[in-house]
Amino acid sequence: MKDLLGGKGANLAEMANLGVPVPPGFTITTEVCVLYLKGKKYSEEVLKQVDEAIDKLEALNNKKLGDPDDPLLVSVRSGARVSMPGMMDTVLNLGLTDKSVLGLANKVNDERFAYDCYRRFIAMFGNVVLGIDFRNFDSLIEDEKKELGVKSDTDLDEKSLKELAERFKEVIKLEKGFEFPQDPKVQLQMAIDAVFDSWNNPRAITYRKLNEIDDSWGTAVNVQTMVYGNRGNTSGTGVAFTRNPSTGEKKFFGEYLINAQGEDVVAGIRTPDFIDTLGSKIPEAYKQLVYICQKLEAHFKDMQDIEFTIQEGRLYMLQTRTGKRTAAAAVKVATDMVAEGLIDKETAVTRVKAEHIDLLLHPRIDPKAKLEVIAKGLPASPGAAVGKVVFTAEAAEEMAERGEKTILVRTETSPEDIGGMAAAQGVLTVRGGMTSHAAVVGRGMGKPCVVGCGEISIDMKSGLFMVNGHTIKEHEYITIDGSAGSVIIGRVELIDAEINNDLKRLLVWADEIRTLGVRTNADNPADAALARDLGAEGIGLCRTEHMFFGEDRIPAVREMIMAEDEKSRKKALKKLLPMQKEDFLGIFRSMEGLPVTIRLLDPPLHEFLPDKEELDAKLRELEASGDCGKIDEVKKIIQRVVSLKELNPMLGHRGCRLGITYPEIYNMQVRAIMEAACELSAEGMQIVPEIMIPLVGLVKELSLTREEVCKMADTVMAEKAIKIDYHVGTMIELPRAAIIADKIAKEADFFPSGQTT
Amino acid sequence: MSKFVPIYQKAGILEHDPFAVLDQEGVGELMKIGIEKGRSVKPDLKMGICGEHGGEPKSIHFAHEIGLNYVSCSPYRVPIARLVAAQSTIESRKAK
Repeated sequence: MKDLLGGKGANLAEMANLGVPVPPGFTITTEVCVLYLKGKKYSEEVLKQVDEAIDKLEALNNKKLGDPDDPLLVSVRSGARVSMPGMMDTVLNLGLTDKSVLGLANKVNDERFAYDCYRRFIAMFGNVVLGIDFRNFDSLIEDEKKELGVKSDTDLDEKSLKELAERFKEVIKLEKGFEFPQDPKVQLQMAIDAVFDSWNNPRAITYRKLNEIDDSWGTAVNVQTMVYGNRGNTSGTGVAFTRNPSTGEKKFFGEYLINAQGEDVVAGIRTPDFIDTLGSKIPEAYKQLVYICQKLEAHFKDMQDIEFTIQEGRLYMLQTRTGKRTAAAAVKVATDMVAEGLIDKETAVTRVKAEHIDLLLHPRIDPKAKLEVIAKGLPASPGAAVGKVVFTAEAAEEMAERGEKTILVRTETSPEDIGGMAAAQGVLTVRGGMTSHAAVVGRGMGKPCVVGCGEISIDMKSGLFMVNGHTIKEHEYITIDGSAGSVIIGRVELIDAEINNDLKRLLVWADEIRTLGVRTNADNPADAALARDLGAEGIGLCRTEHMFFGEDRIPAVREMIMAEDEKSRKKALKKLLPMQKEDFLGIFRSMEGLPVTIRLLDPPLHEFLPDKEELDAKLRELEASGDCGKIDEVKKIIQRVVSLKELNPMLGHRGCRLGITYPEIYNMQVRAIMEAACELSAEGMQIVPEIMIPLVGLVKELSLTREEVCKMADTVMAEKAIKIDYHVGTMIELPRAAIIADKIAKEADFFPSGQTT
Repeated sequence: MSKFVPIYQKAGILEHDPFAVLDQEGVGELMKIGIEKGRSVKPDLKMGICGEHGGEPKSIHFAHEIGLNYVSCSPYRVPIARLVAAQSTIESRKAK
């Protein structure tokens, strides 16, 4: 249903079926959009159906479009398969004309209200449908206010609003060369085209790219009877969530404005009130709202994000959709709903996204850090972020391209800022509430976000902001804590997050369901222990070369590489043996009872030597100082570096090729592995070593190396008089190996695959 | 990050960075060959994937689909892999 009607349209239809009060309307499907975008026209059938739908709508409301006595007014909104908040276009109050505005004024007995709607509609139509810069209209409003010496739009009387409507029409004529259309059906057709076209506006395209939404889906259009939240003190409009979208707590959460139009709440221009207080202002509507929200959540079995309008005491639901939530809320809502019996464990596991977990494991502010908090705002999207202050989305994007971390500081954000928000580490706004654009988008993206920080005043011209006696310049570091709502001076230390009980529970359910094993890549005991805590069922890859790079080992490693014969090479390897064994003892202990795959030395040897330029510089230095003793040594190393140089080292002398050339290297490693395993096994631990031979492309490479490995393993086990179960396998990393995998398999106990190819 | 990958992505030559998201069409096909041939000789051969792809959701789904025994990823990706592996099981159950 959502594929065809879009999320908004499908849910409106479903709400109507549930008996929830919804303003009457109809939906034009995404199919029509796709066809329209291809050919920029509609079939006869579609046009006929739209006409019929309007007739039906007129009959239902007992009003007619353009009626000079009592006109039907509609909203035209986009609605794709998945919610794309604020990304596409909306037109409100459609159906107002020079004639019908009089009808509206008569009907509601409020001329000011009627002309206020009219001038809003003309500006919106001009901007959204005709593509005229909205500043052309805004500047006229500002001029009028200045002339009258008033501050707010609400101070303008009907005469001014009437005058503005006239001037707005002139703007349209001047900019477009034609008159503002006075036929509501023409207005409607143009608005529908505009909403369809807005599927391909740049911000919608960016949003789709960021959220991996298919470009070919198109949007539906919802045409709905207008209801008004700005009809006095028993009217209002708001946004609510059935649970807290930030923490997941089961508590009705939302904001509203009395005597306002819907867009005022989301745009973040007036800071709205918390939903709890609505009960004391319009009690009946509030009671009904709470009841409907419970009903919707129970029906959809997920947290809902709803929009509502109260028109003179009467409640209308404008929208319900699955609420966007933070990572923490996703986990809490999913586990709570299982406890409430609303969903099963399997559904809970699908409600949490991989990105959510990624975010939960993201750093937070060290609770022990000393903080200089310079301002407090609303904690709109949790997590901590550190970055340099920037004031525009473009700046955030530019800095991100250079790899710099930023905090985007804005008076309020709008859909145009989306690229910059994605590029920044965090977002801080001066205005707006918990459901403002910045807050909603921030939570969706998992960006730490502090909003409504009214103490801040931004001076764009000087490139700074001031707050409580502090002046912060552009590119200075700040830290924001989206969980506490605080703004902190400078760069604060962040620490790793921990897994809370809700997430632990959810992951245990995941373990019960999954058939695929999960291991970790770790080459030291600390990482191995951490991974085991996080649920790893063994080590899939332990890279032994990382151990060779340790400061205490690299001299012995270099000695081994520089060795001129087997004897001196063995001497150097002997020094490495106890160190390698110590590593394996630690790793095996951390992974007791679980398999540990250890890859024998893989990289080309030159990686362990200093690079040539460095050596040349050192040689020049020594020659200058006349230190003859060391000159020969450095020269020797240079010679070795040159002799090890290969055209394509990644496909060169490495992996088992090294093992075959210098069998004593792998022998030392296998001895270290098996000695460690045998010793721990003697202590009663269950150790499962899996020895991996890297870069096998030929069957004989594997059979030969395997024979050597087994020989050494058996020797060690005989020495220690203990038998343990060990495996020898290889990694399929060369295309050739994949193609002869059947032959390789005869020689291998296991096969991990790498992506070196 | 590689020098040409972002340019390839912008030009639409590549959708994802193949160093982050497993290239299912090419490398994935080689993996399938490896699995099929390997198991034709040893039906119980244990097979997995290691490297950072082992913790990337799309690649984990793929690993499940082609019948690997395990994925291996860096420690902080382990919880992600546990979740995504379960989601893969649910998805393939539903597809049946």
